[in-house]
Amino acid sequence: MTANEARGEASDEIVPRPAPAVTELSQGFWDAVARQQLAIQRCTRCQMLRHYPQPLCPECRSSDFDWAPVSGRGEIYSYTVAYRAFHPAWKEHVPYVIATIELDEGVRMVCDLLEADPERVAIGQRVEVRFAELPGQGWMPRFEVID
Amino acid sequence: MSISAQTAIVGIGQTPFTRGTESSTLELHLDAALEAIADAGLSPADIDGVMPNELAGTIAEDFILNLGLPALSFSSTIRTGGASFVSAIQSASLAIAGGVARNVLLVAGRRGYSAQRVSLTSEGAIPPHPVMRHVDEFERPFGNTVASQWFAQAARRHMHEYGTTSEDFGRIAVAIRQHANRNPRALMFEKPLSLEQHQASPLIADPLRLFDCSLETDGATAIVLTSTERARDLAKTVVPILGVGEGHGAPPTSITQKRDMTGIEGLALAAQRAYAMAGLTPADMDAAQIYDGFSWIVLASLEACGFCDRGEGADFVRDGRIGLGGALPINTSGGLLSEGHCSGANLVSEAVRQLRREVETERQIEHCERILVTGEGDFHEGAALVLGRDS
Repeated sequence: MTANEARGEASDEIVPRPAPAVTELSQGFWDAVARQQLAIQRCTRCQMLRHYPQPLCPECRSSDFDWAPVSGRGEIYSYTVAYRAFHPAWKEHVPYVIATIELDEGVRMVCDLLEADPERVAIGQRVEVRFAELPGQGWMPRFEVID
Repeated sequence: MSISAQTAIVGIGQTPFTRGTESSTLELHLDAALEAIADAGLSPADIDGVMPNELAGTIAEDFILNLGLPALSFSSTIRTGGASFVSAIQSASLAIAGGVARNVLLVAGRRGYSAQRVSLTSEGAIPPHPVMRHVDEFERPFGNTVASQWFAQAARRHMHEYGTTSEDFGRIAVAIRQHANRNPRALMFEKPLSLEQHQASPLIADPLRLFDCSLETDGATAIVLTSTERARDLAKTVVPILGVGEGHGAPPTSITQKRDMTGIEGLALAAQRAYAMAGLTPADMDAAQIYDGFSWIVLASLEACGFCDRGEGADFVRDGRIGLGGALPINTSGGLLSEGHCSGANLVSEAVRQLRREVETERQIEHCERILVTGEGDFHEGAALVLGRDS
């Protein structure tokens, strides 16, 4: 962040969105995203889906997992409308919607819905995954309101 | 063996709360520490335990070096963000009751306005925080970058499930501000706030408005704990720790992942444990100092601590119940919302001052014998403390 931005003043500098800090454990998720697929870590012993990725299944303590393709459809579980950008990459987008999305398979993901109307967003709205290649981030899952 | 009433808070120290300081976080900590040690009637050499606060980034070695501690036998740092300070009181009490240390110093707060501002996410603004790794990978890259946005989603879901409104959050902010208006130490001492002003204040992260957010503050608070037996030989009214507890919700990765984000599960567990240790119930509390990083946290904490049922927080905060003179005065110093955000440590110091009868007359809680103090940190982790008064 530049000093100007810290004071909330205009700057022409384009700041990329922060890249996800990918780990060995989460590589399978991001590899799938790069293929434009949404896949969630699944315990191969008890079949429980878990997000965010972690080494052991908290249900059965198995360390065996695979990456299960999911529908990419779900609904808004909760949301906020950000009226201030606390990271300069979102400065041009305020007010923007940040949603917690519950996929039909039961796991939750977070996504900024830059195309959504802050006046119309609501809990329970149906959303569906899209994929986009973003500066500084590469391929990322995106969600769109389909209601 | 129960540790109920085995340990006590015997010293408190506090720098002024400011928005602008030349002092470093460590210098603020050392000022507060020396004051707390003197307040206890001890000398620095008596301190054999120290618990630096995670959010400040100071370490035990800073205190050994600067306070000249010759015989430190206990040091530890709790990593539950805003719940750390109250949780640390549990650890310090265990260390004292177990004979590992005699006099333990706890310090928190930071140069939170002049340097380590959480609203400016520039690198180095806050110390590294391992628990944030999931948020760093799966939420910050999607624009969910700061605490106001995380708690806003919990508040929004609470509104959805229970019909809570922004005015309910406003009633909390206004009640706490009225207490700050009676506290010359508070950053908002001379700034009254009406519900209308709250409702007209800009949205930061909908539904949270400006006046739903706590104050970035320069300042530090320190306390000294010792055994209740030893405390009775020291200068001040003894404030025994009747009960203390910590609690952790699941999963601990993020608020968005909580099975039920509308409740502060970790605090509910902590409060149950603190009440059980004290042998008391919510109805026995004369006041509460509730961690108020955001106004919604207060509402959800009142539910979590059993002052009302789930979903009834909005009704509870109406009709002056949480104001001075009400059934349960809360945050009588102005709290984090209106006195200053000192990582929750100023809620503890306020409880001690109230129990010692050291506050300004106009904000002294009447017949105040027992106070609940809470901490909330990271993603709905919690800590709770029941303080009493040795008569």
